[in-house]
Amino acid sequence: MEALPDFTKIVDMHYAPLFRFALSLARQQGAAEDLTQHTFLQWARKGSDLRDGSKVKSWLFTTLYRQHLSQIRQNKRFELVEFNPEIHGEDITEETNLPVVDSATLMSALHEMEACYREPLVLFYLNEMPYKEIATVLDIPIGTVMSRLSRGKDILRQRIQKSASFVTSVSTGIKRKEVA
Amino acid sequence: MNREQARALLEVATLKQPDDFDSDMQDALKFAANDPELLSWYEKRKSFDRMVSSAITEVPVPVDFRSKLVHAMRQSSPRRTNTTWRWLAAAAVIALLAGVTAMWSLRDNGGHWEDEALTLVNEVDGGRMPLDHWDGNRSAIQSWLAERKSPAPNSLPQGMSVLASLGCKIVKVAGHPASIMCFGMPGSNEEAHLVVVDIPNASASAPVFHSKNGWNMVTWNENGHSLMLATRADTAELRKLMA
Repeated sequence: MEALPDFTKIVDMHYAPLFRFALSLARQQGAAEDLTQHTFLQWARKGSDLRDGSKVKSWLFTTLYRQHLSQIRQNKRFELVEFNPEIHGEDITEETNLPVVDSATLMSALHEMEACYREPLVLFYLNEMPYKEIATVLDIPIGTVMSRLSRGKDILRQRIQKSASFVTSVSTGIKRKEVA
Repeated sequence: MNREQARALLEVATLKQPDDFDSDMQDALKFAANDPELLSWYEKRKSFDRMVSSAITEVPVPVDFRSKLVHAMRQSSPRRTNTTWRWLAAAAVIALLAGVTAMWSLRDNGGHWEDEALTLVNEVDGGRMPLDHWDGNRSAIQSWLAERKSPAPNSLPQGMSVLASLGCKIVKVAGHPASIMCFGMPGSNEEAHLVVVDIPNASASAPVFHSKNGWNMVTWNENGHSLMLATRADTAELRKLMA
């Protein structure tokens, strides 16, 4: 078992990915900061109960996610919707030439996704968190994580492709106007 | 393991080195090594994963966020909870300050500034008085204070280099412009607070250590400034900072 690191080291190691995960959940900077701070304050109060230092990351992400769910339940602003390809009409196609994506485009694409796909995807990409650990954090079965990651990647690819096509068509339109 | 099982596992493989994979993932990789089509698909997936992973880690985090978190965590550490006597002590200090402040106009500005400075430190340390600026870089804090013409130390003891900068606040102490710079003590939840008071006629003096209301302090003068470093850490730790 690993010993627990000093809390400033824990902050240094995890505050940025936790903030980014919170931002992907809450979509607003202030709310993301609050979620992240709440998580660390929970750590300050209860973290010493954890004996194994290797579980700190999972503990923090699980705590943040549970707090987010708790806030959703309280606010009832929106509910989680399980994506259904037949209802939502998404088409899975494997694009070969994918454009380079920046962080703003990526976050925009992620925010358009259903929460059930966005959450495991962000954990996967932020931390290289293994799928089994993602299942623990999100409290869903491993098989569900695998299928949501797979489906989520397909959707994300399509969203990025679409936004790139939009940018290309807009910039082409501007050029045409300039020529005219 | 068949092709679909291998593909399902590789789909969720992280970008870590294959050595870090569990046995299921290792088996899937071995399967793909003998299946060129599956291997090609896996390489494309990894390329996509790398691009997304890189983009997501570039999402900006507010520059002062780390300092705010560390400060908030220190304030919520167990030492600061359920300690009614500390609140009583703080109330007593505030009451004392009220008395000191009332008499202040009658006193020489060169003395007794420590009481007022310590009360302000107590408020900042307890989170009742928010900092004006958060930054993990000491030079940046000093520049921030200088831009606002608030006093900053000309030089600091070498021992203070181990402190982690958190932020600062612009205040007045005994009617003089003053700054409070806050630091995290290494390896503990305690903070150290440096109060720098702009006193034009202050001449250099050696450090004097003393304790009051659970605080350990050291005060000294440099040309034009009176300084106080206060912490709840023990005196030995404080002396190390002044080395």
